[in-house]
Amino acid sequence: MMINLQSQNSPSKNIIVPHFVFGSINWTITILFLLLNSDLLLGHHFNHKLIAITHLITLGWISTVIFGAIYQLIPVIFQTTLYSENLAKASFVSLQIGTWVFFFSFWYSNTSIPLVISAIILAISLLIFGINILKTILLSNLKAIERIFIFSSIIWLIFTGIIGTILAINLSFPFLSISHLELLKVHAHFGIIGWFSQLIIGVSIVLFPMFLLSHNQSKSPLKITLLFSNFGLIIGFCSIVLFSNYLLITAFISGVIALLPYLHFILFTYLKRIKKKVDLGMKKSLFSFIWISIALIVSSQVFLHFSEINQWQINLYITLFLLGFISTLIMGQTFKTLPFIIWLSNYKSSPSHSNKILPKDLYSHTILTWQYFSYSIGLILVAFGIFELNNPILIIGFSLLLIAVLLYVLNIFKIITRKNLSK
Amino acid sequence: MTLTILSEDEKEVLNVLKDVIDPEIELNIVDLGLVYGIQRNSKTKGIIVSMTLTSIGCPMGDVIMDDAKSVLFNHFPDYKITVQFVWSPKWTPEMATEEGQLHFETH
Repeated sequence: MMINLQSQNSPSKNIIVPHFVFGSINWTITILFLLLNSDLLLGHHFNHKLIAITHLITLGWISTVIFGAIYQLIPVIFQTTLYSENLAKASFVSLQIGTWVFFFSFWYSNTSIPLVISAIILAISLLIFGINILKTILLSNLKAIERIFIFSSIIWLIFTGIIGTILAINLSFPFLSISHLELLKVHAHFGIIGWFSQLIIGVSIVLFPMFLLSHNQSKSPLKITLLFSNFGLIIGFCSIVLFSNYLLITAFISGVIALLPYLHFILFTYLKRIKKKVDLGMKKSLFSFIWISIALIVSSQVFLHFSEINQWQINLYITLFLLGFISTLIMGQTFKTLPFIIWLSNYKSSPSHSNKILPKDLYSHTILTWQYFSYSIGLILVAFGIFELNNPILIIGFSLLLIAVLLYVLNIFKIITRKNLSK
Repeated sequence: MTLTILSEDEKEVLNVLKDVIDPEIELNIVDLGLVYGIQRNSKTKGIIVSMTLTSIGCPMGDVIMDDAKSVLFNHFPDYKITVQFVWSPKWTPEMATEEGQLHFETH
């Protein structure tokens, strides 16, 4: 008897896999650039090369992988299909082209037509992605807080793209009456808090309990997270427009209030888990929450001590958030999501049911362990190097990060090139 | 939820279903407590399995159902196999068997 799989909501692996491949390659190149230009982290953050690298991290690495992961997780979170695979392809291609043109425009300080064009391409890419996900959300009847988090994150993503385009145009053809540097802070926080963090919260409150078998956690306190993170972002924007330090402090406190119920949720999900042994992918993901906690402490120095802000504090805060929290989490969750799509797509073609390997067998656990330690130690050294303004420590730190990222890429290729699921 | 009293024929079906593994948890669906009900009718040659998943959005749902149908068909080729998902009551870890609970402690 031939039994066909029931129709699955998952999009084709041809939509998802390129995001992981290009994202991981972009990530490797980013770390290589950081290794070769580590002294950039010892200077002012408004540096054209540092801005170029930051966008390679946020767009080429983080957003690229997040786009792919979201397409894969749509059926899990919304129990529906992706609105359009063609829009996903269009968004992917424009994101890659836009990111690299944008990167080289900034790297060579070419603030003219290529920069503006690349910014517009990127804004279009983000808009296409946003429309695709918003349309998908509307297809779903599920009423849950994760749906609102993801909806909200998409709105902030679109705002981030619009402000980014305005900033790029302003660099080439100045027209803004407010400070470019201040609007850059708004752009950065809309992206980091509004887009990345809200999306991560929305996704993780579904996946972490599922992976750790930790049920019955109340999601009601997360309404505080949703409310205060959005309130904080709006007040933060007002503080820039109205030049008000009090509003900026209010925005920061709102951010802290927003984060606490979420960290509490993650902590209790971990403590009340039924599955006692935590696999490496989840360990690495959970480790990222230590980084966000340290980033929070450092950010308090940035937001609450206006007269004594040191440049290293800003660089450390952004580094801990992007390389610490978000990148660690993505690198951990990659091994909880990517193996499944490859496993599922090869499932039909593997004849034996009883002899099949499991998704966790698609990658090397030894490589993942080395990646885990190399990345953790490397990041500690990078953080220490920024704190001490010590370039040799930064170089050692980034060397370890490069080893970790190469191991990450190796494991990704090991997963995606696996054809047979038999033991 | 515990399975209602099963006949010997239905217990045989239950044992066969122990070959079906949840790929994420790496435990069979019987010890995981996912099987809610089994009906085996020798006269009409029909087997109906009612089961659930650890969460509604579980991406492995179709694979688990496919595996369940396959192993049952291999053991009972003359029977019409029906596997259906039910979502009430919602699965909780307490529904796992003693073997399942032990698996959670050690894996």
